[in-house]
Order: sequence, then C-alpha cells, then structure tokens
Amino acid sequence: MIGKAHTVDLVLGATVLALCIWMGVEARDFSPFASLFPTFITVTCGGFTVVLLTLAAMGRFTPPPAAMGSTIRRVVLCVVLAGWLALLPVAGFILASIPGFIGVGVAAKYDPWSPRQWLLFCLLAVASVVALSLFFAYALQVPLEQGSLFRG
Amino acid sequence: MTIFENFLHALTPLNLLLAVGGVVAGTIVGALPGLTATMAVAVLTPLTFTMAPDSAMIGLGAIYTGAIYGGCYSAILVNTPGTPSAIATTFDGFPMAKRGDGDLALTLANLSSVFGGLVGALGLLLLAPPLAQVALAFGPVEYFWLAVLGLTLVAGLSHGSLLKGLIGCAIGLLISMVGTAVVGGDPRYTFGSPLLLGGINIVVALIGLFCIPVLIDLVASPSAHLRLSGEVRGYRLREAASLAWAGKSNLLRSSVIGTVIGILPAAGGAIASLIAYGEARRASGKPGDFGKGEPGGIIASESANNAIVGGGFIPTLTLGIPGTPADAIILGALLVHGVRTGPNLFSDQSSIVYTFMFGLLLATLLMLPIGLVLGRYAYKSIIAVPKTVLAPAIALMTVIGTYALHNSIGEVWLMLGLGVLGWVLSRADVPPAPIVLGVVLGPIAEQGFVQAWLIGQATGDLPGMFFGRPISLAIIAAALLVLFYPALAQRWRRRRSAQ
Repeated sequence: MIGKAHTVDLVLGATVLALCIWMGVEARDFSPFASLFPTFITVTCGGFTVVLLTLAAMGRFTPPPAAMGSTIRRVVLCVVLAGWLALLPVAGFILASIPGFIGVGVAAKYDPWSPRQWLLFCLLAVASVVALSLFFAYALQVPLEQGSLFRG
Repeated sequence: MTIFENFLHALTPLNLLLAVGGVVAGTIVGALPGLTATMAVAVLTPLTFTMAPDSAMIGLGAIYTGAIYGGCYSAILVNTPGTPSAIATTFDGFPMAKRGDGDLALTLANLSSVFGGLVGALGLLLLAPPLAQVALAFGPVEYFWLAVLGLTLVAGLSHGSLLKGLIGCAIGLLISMVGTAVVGGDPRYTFGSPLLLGGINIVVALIGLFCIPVLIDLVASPSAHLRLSGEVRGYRLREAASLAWAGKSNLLRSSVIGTVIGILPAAGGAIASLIAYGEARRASGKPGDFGKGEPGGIIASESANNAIVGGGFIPTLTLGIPGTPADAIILGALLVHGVRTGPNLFSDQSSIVYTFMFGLLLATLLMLPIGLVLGRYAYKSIIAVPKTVLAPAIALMTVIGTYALHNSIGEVWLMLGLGVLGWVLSRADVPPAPIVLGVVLGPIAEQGFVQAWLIGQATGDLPGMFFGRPISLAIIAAALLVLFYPALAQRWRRRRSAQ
C-alpha cells in the first residue's frame, strides 16, 4: 500500500545520495589504492539510500517524533558555542571560556535568579574555568591557547 | 622466584599504592569525555621510568583498566561514552538512569567490569601463549569482515530502523575516509585544509556526535536531566549482585568474548562490547527489552570491554604486537625498562611478567570498592547539579577535552559541526552509535579490504580471498545472522501464532 511520503526521510536519502555521488566522483581522481575503498563504500551507501528513498516514497517509515522543547534555546546554545570558539584564538582559553560558560548556563536557565544567585553563578564559572585550565595546563601539560591579544 | 613469591611481590606497599592510585586516576580520566585511556597511560608513562619494571607495569595496567571502566560513568549518566568501548553501555545504561535507576546501573556496571576484568586477567595469567595463536590466524580479510560484523551489529542493535542504522554506519565510514589514505597515502576530501589531512579523530567524532546532541536537548526543556528518587538507596549492591547472578551466563559469555576479541590487535573494546551485547540480546528471553533499560545490556557491554584489558596484553606480551593503542604505549614503556616482549618473555623475565599479572588482578579487584565509591559520588553529583551548571560544565569539558587532543581549535570546530550534524541526523532517526563506530572501524576495514583485494588479485582468486577462508565465512555468517535474524524470528513467531 502506498502511504504518505515523509519529508524527513526523503531529505535524508537525497542528501546522503548526493554526498555519495560527489565522493564517488572525487574518488576517480585518487590513486588506484586510495580510490578502492571510497568507491566500494559510496556504491554501497548509495544503494542503501536508493532503498530508503523508495521506502520513504511508499510511506513505509514511521515518522520520527517531533523535537520536544524550545527551538530558540537550541539555536541560542549553538550560537553561544560558536561565539565561544570564535573568541578562543583572540582572548585565550580562560577569558573566552568564562563568558562561554555563563552563556550556556543562561541558555539552560528557566527560573528567575536573584542578584546573589547571579553573583554565585558567575563566581562558579570563573572558578570552574580557572581550575580546569590549570589542571590541563600543569597536570596534563596541555599548552592552552593564550589568545592573540596577549601574545607579544 | 616462584609464582607464589611473584604474587607476594605484587602485594608490596608500593605496588598496592600504585594499583590504587592507577585505578582512581584511570577511572576519573575515563569518565571524562575527551580524555581517553590511551591519553591517561601516555601522560603518566614518564612517571614510571624511575620505578622497577614490575611496579611500573602494575601502575600502567591499573590506569588502563580503570580508564576502560570509567567510560561507563558518562555513558550511563550523560549518554556520552567516555571511551568508544562504552558505546553499547549507552543503549541500556542511559534509559536506566533516566527512569531513576542510575545508581543501580552504575553498581551493576562496576560488578560486571570487575568480573570481566578478572576473566581477562586470568586468561592472560593461565592461557597467554596458546591464545596468542588466535591473533596470528587473522589476516587482512578477517579484519575487514570483523569490522563489517561490528558495523552490522551496531546497525541492528541501535534504536530505530536497520536501514537507517546501516546508513549511519556508511556515513561514519565516509567520515573516516577524510584525510590521508590508509593505503596509497593520497589526501582525500580535505579541501586543501591542513586540519583535515590527518583525518577526523575518533575522539572528536565521539564527543561531537554523542555530547553535543545531549547538550542541545538538555537546554531545550526545564525538566530534570535524570529522574530523581526521593529515597536514599545506598549503593544498591545487593540488587545489582542478584541481577548479575541472574545473568551469570551472560556475564561469563561476554567476558570470554571480550578476552578473545581483545587478543585481536586493533579490534578493540567497541567491537567486543557490541558482539557481547548482540549475543546477550539474542540469548535473552526478552530481546525486545534491550535498548530500553535492560540490565543484561550493561552486564554484557561492561564485562566484555574490561575483559579486553587482559586479552589485549596477550599479543602484547607474547608476540610484541599491541592489541590496542594503550597497549602500544605500555609496550614502549616496557622497552624503556629493558623488558623484551616475545615468546621467550615468560622464561627469560618471568618474575616481572607474573608480578604484573598478579598486579593486574589486584587492580581489577580494587576497582570494586573504588568504583562503587566514585560511582556513587558521580551519580549524586549529576542528579544534584542543576541544569544551569550541568550544561556549561559539559560544554566546558567538551571544548577543553577536544582541544587537548592535538591543541587544535580547528578540531573543536569540527567537533561542534559533527555534533550539530549528529543532532539533525538523530531527528531523522539515524542514531549516533553507528556513525561513531563507522569512524572507529573505517581505517581497520579499509586496510583489510585493500590488502585482501591486492592479495586476491595477485593470486588470481579474488572471490576465494573474500569468501573462501573458514574464519571469514564464520564471521560473514554471524553478520548475516545479525542482519536477518530479527526479521526471520518475527516471521516464525507470526507463523506460529497463526497456527
């Protein structure tokens, strides 16, 4: 019986199929040894996606449950994380991570806070970032990013 | 020195201290996503250079076994495996934690890990030379098929449809092909970027695909991360022990699987725990409960992944072939200490080897009290910490943990990109476990495939190379069974109920 096609599955199938075609075409420029496995996998994966597209067009999949919760907060989190990473090479690990920590905390905050709670949270952010940075820098000998602002 | 004297030597105060410290340090490192067992062993290896060889080996073995065990904490409490070998632990561990049984899941994981670790260490102590021959029976094509078996297992066992699981595996394999080719050395799909020349690191993919989607969903709703229990229930040791006793055949079978898979160089704990998990589900009277918080899933995964520690040392010590990257570092440390691994090790330097084996047994036993205490603390911390602190703490660990791998901000961007991709794919019902396992097994599968292809072409018998060897045929049969057994079993059940 032909059922309702599910957009999510059709988009997934089409995207992965396009990726396989592109990777398969690129593989033709590699040396014979290096192209063997990519060709094999792109053909196999392409076959899976054709089956997926066929079944999806026939409406044979149960539609995945819709994402629960706030989409805006999800987007805010991704923006905060991206901002954090963009700030790392400029401000260095500690200075970039403190606002990053606070930003992620704010994205997850649902209750109203008193000024005292805000202060405690900011102190916790500073303490956590500094403690972890010191642990990585001195105990694990990881040279953390200093930031272009602080490099001579 | 007699074997009994070696046993007593393993119990000296220094060796005991090293075993305790190693297990504690390893467990903490293994529990933090981004810090791997290999990294823990590598960072702490130089500290052992001034020690006696047997003490150094006990310390390193304890760190390694603790780190493999520690991977279950984040797998159960945050749905992010601390190490790839804990991927299968997320299937049932996190659902148990979500329904309020995280404490029971952690205690059960502890008991299973200790049992699996003891079986692996006993295998090393009693059967090392004959078991080492298993590693020699595996050629390139067997490794290729073993990787295929691992991928079909994870596709079949993950939540959702088998087809989408297989597509997830293929996406993981496609990701694993980015970078310099394993055979041939061509740069592939790098867009001319030096960052991508080295490929996409397994840990970058692991953190991104598991951690970031958890974080994205964590901030989206005000409800608690894990269900809270009103009553104080302690360690729930008796409950966990009775569950482990009820699943004793699962425990023993999974530990043996872990030991045998551990012997195969590079196969690793991820395949071992998935094969054990698949077997546990197949043998269970209620396979439908697996993936929904079934304690048998944790027993299988955790006993198998700790059994690989002892199993992995078998080829390392007897053949000089490291079973895992951590074994390779320990092998390097042994060479620094003047210990020559190989078939003569057990006769030439038996006192060092046997003291180490007893030390490993001791460290595994010490994991029981240490793991219970640390697990309880981790559980109480996770349920007590509000989301406003938990979410940024996880984010900070993912950023610094990924950066620490190669001191590269580019890899942190990659991790974030993969995480967002993982969340989008999870919305389309493609689970993260097959993608990560594709990345983990991609290089093993490619090397085996290309080498087998070349040998097959050179001998003029390509089909015979891939389909004509007994071990390969057994692995192919197992993979086909994994793929088609659920559908066949369902058809048989339907036919029986219709009759």
